[in-house]
Amino acid sequence: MSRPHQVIIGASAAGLAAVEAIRQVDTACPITVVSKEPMPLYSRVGLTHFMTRDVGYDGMRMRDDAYFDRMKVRALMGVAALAVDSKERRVELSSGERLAYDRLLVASGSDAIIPPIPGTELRGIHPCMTNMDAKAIDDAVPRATEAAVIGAGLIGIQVVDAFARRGLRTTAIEMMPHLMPAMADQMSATMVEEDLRASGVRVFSGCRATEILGKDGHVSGVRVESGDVVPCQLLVLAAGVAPNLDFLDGADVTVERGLVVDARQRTSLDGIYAAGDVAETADLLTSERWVNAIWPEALNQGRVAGLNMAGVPTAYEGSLAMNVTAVLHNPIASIGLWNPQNGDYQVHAIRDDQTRAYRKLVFEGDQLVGAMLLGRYDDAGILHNMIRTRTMFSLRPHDLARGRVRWGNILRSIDRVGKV
Amino acid sequence: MAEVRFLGRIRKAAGVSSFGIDASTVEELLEQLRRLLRPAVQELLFRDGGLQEDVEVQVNDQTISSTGGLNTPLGPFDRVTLLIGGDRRSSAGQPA
Repeated sequence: MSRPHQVIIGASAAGLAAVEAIRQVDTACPITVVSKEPMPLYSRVGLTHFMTRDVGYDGMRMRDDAYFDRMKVRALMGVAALAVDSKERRVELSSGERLAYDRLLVASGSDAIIPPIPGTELRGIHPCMTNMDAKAIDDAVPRATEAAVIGAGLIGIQVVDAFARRGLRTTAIEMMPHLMPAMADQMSATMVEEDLRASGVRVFSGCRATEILGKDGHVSGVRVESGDVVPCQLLVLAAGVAPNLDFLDGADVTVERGLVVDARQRTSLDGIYAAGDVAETADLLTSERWVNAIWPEALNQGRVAGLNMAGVPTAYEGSLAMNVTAVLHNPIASIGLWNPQNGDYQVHAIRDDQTRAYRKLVFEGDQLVGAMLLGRYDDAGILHNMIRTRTMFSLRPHDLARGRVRWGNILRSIDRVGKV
Repeated sequence: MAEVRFLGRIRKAAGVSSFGIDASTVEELLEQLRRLLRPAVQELLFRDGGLQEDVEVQVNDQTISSTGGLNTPLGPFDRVTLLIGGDRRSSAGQPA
C-alpha cells in the first residue's frame, strides 16, 4: 500500500511541528510544504528582537537551509494556496499547480487586519507579521524621526518599544480603554503606560485613529478621534490579526472564529486538519472555544495534527492563554484566567511602585488558575506549570500570594507534607 | 525570490495577500503575474500590452517611476506592492 501524501499549508510553528511529528512516525511518506512566504523558517517571536537590534536578521531563523532536505520534504516556498477542492483532494496553487493530497494540514497562520480607515495604502505604512515586514520596517527607521503604531496589543506594544529604544519620537494609538487589552489588566497596563510616557512615548488609549494623512503618496500623520494629529513618517498597523483562510472560501468546511477542529485537530472535512492561528480549539481551563493565536499552542497543535495525520491517535489537551513580553526592559506576563469576569474566583494583587512590579494571582478555591506579572517574573514558569497541570505541589494560595516561588520552596513543602 | 504583495481591490480579487515570484526585474514579475493570476485579477491589473493606468507598482515602498520603471531590478529581499491608485483614500492634508 502506498504511503499517504501529506500536504501542509504553512511553514511556521504549527507546520514545522507537524512535519517533525510525522517524520517521528513515518520516515518515508511524501510530505509537501507550501508557504506563501519566500523565506520562511524564521520565528515570529524574533521579529521585534530584530527590530530592537537585539538580534541580527539571521537571529530570527529557527531552521537552517538544509532543513527541508534533511526532513525529506518537497518545499514550495513563495507559493500561495488559492483554493482547496476537498472532493478531488487537490490544492490550487499560485504557481499554477493543482497539488493532490491524501491528508492536508491547514497551518496558514494569520494576516494582519487592515483597519477600515482612509489612507492605509499610503507608502510608509507596514504591518508587522513576517520577516519581510520586519526588514521593511527596519529599513524605514533611519528615514524617519517620528513613528506611530495603531493598535497596542502584544505586537503593537513590542513595535512601540523597539521604536522608542531606537530613538524615534513614538506614539501608540489604542482604541480600547488601555494598552495590551488582551494580555494585561487595567493596573498593569496603566503602569506600562506611565513608564512609556516617562520615557517620552506619546500614548492615546481609548482613542481611535480616524484618518491617515499623506503627502506625495507617503504617510505624514494620523488623525485620532480627539482631533489630535500625530505626525509620523513611519506607521505600523497592529490592529489585530485574522486567520488566513481566504483560500477555503469555496470549501464546505465549518468555520466559526477559526477552523473548527476536534481534539485530534480534524476539521469538518475528511482528511483535512488545522493547527495554529487558524484553528479554533477548546480552552484548557474553561472549555470555551476560541482561537488562541500564540506560538506555544501552535507548536502543540501542529505536533498533535502531525501525529494524527501519520496514523497515531493523539488528543490535544486544550489551549492555555499565555503572553510574555517586555516593555522598556520591564517584563510582563499573563497566564490562564488572569482577568476573571465573575466573582467565583479569589484574586490576590500587590503593586510595588518602587520596583515597578505588579503581581496578581487568581485562584479557584485553592487552585491557581491565572497570573498577571509585571516586573520580576522569575517564577512565571512555575506558576504556568501549576495552572496548566492544575496542581499546587502542596503549596497554599497564601504561600504564592506572599511573593515569588522557587522550586526549592516547593521541594521543601513536598518533603514536609510527604506527597506531590 | 521577491515577494509580491496585493493591497485593496487587487487583494480581494486575488484572494491572497502575498506570495513569491522568481523574477530579476519588475517587468519579468508582471509577465509572470499575467500568466498566473485569474482573469478577474488580470482585468484589474492589465490592459492591452501594459498595466492599467491606475495601477501603482512599488518596490520596497518606492514607486517604480523613481527606481527605474519596469527595469527595476529585483532581489531576494525585495517586496513588490501592487495597488490601484483609487484605493488610496488618503487626505492630502498635512499634520498640524
